[in-house]
Amino acid sequence: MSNKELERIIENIDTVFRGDAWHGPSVMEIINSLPIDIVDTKQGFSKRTIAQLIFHMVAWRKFIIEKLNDNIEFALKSEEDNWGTDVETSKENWKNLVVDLQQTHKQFIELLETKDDSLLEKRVAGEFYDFYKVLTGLIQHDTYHLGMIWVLWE
Amino acid sequence: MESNENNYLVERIVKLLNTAFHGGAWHGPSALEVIKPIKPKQAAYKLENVHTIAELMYHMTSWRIFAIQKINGNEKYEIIGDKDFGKFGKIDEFELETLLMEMSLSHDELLSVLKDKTDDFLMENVPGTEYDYYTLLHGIIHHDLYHTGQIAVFKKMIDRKLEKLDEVNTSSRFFDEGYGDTF
Repeated sequence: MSNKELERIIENIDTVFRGDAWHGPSVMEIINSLPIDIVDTKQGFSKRTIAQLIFHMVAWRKFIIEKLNDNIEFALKSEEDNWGTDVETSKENWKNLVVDLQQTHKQFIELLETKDDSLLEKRVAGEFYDFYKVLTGLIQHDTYHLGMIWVLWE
Repeated sequence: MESNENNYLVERIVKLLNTAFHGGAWHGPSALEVIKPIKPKQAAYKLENVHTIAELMYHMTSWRIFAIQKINGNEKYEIIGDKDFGKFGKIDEFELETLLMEMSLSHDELLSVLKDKTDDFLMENVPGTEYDYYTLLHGIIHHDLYHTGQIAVFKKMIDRKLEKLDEVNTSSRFFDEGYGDTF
């Protein structure tokens, strides 16, 4: 079975994460240039902080990892599942959060690399969409929230 | 477009282009879902060091046109100077409507030049660049959503600033606060 299309998707997920993405700045490029001081600053106009948005990116990677392991029950239900607790998204915890993001990303990519193109047609356990939608969706999700992070930073 | 074994991947990308632009995307709000409710005042508002929403809308269209030009074989086409973010005078209802229309037209045009393409096309090199059409087309989607995320936050930021402005205006000019003589 071919894995040509999945390979391209993995490449896209990884460039948007690491760098050299077509659209502009990657997740790690932005994280590496951010001043830590502002990561948990609450701006009056926005509900979310930068750290919460990063937590959110970790959370959805973990979601897909669970789904790749056919965990039908897994869902991000609560506000905290999605955006983290105050402690998890505090300035003090920033370094751990970034490590968690990197490790989760690595685990996610390694798991994807064991699959082939047939995965893309497979329905995500407990959901109404397939893995093509969720994997390409994750990249879009990353870029959408990256745009937000960029503004919160500026 | 009919799906067959020769254009299966193109069709997938077309679907993604459409959901990211119009709606029904996995990640959340599409470009138009965020942009359509924008008012001229918000689109024109200049925040320090960043582009206005109007300029970002123009920019999203510019890169769609870039993709269309490349697909049509225009190797020399480049986005330089004002072609990137545009140059605007006053942004009124009419100007904003035009920007939105140009965005939609460029989107339709992009779909139409993709119509007869087969999957082999995706692996072709984009003339004048070092990447292929697969990268360019997914890139357009990511680019759209990156700026859509920016616009979603700008909108809130600008509303907060406009509200403050309104408070000042209301108390100083229109209402006689505290004297019991309001109208």
